[in-house]
Amino acid sequence: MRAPNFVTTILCLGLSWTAAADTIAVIGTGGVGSALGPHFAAAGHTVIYGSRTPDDLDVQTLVTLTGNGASATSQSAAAADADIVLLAIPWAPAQTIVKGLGNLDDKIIIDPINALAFGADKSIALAATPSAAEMIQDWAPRAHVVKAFNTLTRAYMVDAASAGGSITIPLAGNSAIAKDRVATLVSSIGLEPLDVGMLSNARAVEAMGQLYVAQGYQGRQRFEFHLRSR
Amino acid sequence: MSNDQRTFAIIGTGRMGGAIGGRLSAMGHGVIYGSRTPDAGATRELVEKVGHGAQAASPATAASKADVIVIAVPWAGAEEAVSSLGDLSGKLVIDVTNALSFAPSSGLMEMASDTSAGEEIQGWLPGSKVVKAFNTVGFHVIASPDAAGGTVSVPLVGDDAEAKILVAEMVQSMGFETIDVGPLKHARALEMMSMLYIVPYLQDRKEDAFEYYLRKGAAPKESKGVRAAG
Repeated sequence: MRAPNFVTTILCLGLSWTAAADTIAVIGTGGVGSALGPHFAAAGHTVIYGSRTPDDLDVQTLVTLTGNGASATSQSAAAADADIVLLAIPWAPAQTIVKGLGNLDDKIIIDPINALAFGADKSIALAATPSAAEMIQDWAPRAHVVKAFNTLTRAYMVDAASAGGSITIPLAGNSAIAKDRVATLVSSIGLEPLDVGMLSNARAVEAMGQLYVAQGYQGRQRFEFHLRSR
Repeated sequence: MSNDQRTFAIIGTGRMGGAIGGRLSAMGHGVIYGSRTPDAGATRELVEKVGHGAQAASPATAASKADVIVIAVPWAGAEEAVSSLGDLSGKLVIDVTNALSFAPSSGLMEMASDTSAGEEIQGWLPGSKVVKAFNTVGFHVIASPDAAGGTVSVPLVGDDAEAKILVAEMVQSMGFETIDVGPLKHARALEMMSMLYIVPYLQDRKEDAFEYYLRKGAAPKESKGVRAAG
């Protein structure tokens, strides 16, 4: 999965000025950041991890594993240098972190967050109204927020092929150009992007994420989303 | 349920009710349509077309004669229709509706319930066993599952485990896979997913139309990637 496949290479050539040399700030080095960062580097992008502890051994190990000129720095410094900002962070501190990232005007923000409330009775509910993605857009009004990757478990972010079949990643956002660029990233790691409309539709995509997380949380059989074209 | 024949009351004579009743009737089950106008020409035509001894009656009469009641009415008329069914304590109720309405401000669908159609119907029919099914599947796919070009998974939610198993067997006997996605309170997430289904049509992107397919997944192996604090 580390090397870009043939199709991705062709896509990158076709969109050379956009896809070939993006600088992507991966804010957070937990499960999602450490899964997607190495893929973005393998697809030819420069990855800057934004971390509260950029000098820690864990983070430096991830930087080495990621390669292609990856680095780690503070969260705000990472965002400042990037065209695309991936918010690989939990929902609870999201507002503080996003507001601390500085000027995000014209940058693409990828929001993979599932804002969920876990009940004591194993119930699970949405915790952001109207949606996490729309709240993030409010915190960074001139950024281009795209909802993506929230309907996927980490193992399939690392190795999409291990799911034994294609998985569709629904994308919601108000900027068609931003959605196209995120779609290219999604394709480059072996997943199928699908435009599901405006950012307000992130509400539905986050509801899908709720179901997805609930499966594991409630100990039932897993499923993958396949939104098949007709 | 696949081996013994049951009597289904299909409340609603629209496209969903027509497709579900048509399949069940052809499989040898008894079908009684519940309609406010059981003697109207359109209702008689549907009964004729479904054949195999299908009948039409008032909603309350149909429900009283049935083992299983299928709610297949538009959301706007659902409360009135469901409330007219009488006491359905102990009976199995299958809800195929979506609590959606068109929002002129966004040009998209929005939820028309603070909870979900599934939960509201359970509230209107206390003591019944409500299972939500088929709300993410088009009527044409219900009529001929092969039309989708691959096995379609039907997500099910409900609070009664036994009822959910019965519905799973019935749905499987109609040529679908089923996936248990949890308690009835997850109905809202399923109904929000169905909002996405309609987006390409509302945005005049019919070429982008898609169908849901929640494919059963293999249990993912825990990946060995770097995990560090965020």
